[in-house]
Amino acid sequence: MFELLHQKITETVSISDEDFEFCKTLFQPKKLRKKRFILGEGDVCKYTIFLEKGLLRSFIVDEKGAEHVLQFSLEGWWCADLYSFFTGEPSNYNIEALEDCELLLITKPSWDLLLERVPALERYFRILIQNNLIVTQRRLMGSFSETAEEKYNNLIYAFPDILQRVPQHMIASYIGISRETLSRIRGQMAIRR
Amino acid sequence: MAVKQTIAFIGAADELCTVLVKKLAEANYPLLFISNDGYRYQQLTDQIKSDIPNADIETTDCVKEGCWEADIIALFDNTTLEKELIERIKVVATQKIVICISTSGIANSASMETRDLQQMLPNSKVIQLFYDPARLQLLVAGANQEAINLVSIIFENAGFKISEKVF
Repeated sequence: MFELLHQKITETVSISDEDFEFCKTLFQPKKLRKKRFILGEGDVCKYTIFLEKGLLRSFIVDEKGAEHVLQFSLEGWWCADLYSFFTGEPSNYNIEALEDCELLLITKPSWDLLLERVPALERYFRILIQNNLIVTQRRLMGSFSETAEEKYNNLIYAFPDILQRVPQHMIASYIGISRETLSRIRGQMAIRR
Repeated sequence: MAVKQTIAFIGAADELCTVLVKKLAEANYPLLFISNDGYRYQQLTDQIKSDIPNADIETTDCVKEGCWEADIIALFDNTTLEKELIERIKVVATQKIVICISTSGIANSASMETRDLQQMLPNSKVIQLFYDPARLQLLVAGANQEAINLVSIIFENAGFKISEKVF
């Protein structure tokens, strides 16, 4: 249940068995069925989520009712609306399971306690947030400068099995293009091969 | 779209269970029935769904899987708190609210069973829920104010009158 969390933490920092046992007492294990939600728009994001198994998508719904996918989260990833998590304000996000998931949830007070009691995890989360900032910055820049095909290729390079796990319309939404444009891009790429 | 907590019920599907789960189902809480007595819970599920077709109810006979999926775990006071059962749910009940539900009267302090349960589940938030059928009122009691607040909100949303007590 905690194997992947332990692996991901120890890839970055050293942590004693005793500290990891303490860490486990602060996480809430949660199984989430496919198509169920862990966060809905208007809720406060009470948890930051570690994904032991499965696939989540974070999306918002605009005033016309259209969904816009912000992020896919895979095994070994963290997922949350950090604005809502840190401020306690209502979230604009929805986080939905695209597959049956096994999650580990931690609340803000537990997270604060964890960082206080296990200083190594301060470094772990600093590096995590640092990497998240870099990826977010690059994605923002890419949204202005990359072509649709480049965005698609970057996504496939980063997540090779995503086409098998995520419906095409959600991939199109994540890239910021229509389903039809994505089909055209994939068709053109297939011809070139 | 607010996401509601999934509540798992462990124990026999008696009259108290029926009263509580019907009102929670009406308030659109996802419910999970965990029992070896699949027949009784299936009857209860069918009864609720005939009145509330969109009721979100699942049943399972695996206590670990059910408690893993649940956000809140509710035990009826007719449930035998076997050590083996508690050991099975301990790892998946971490940081979750565990409710002991009873009709056996208002307590001035935590019952022995609740204290024992809190010791067996040190990383869970164990609270008591007493149902007074004469007054249609619930008393939510325990040592964890946050858990008391959350459970009170849930059962108020379901239409119950609530009073609270902190030990």
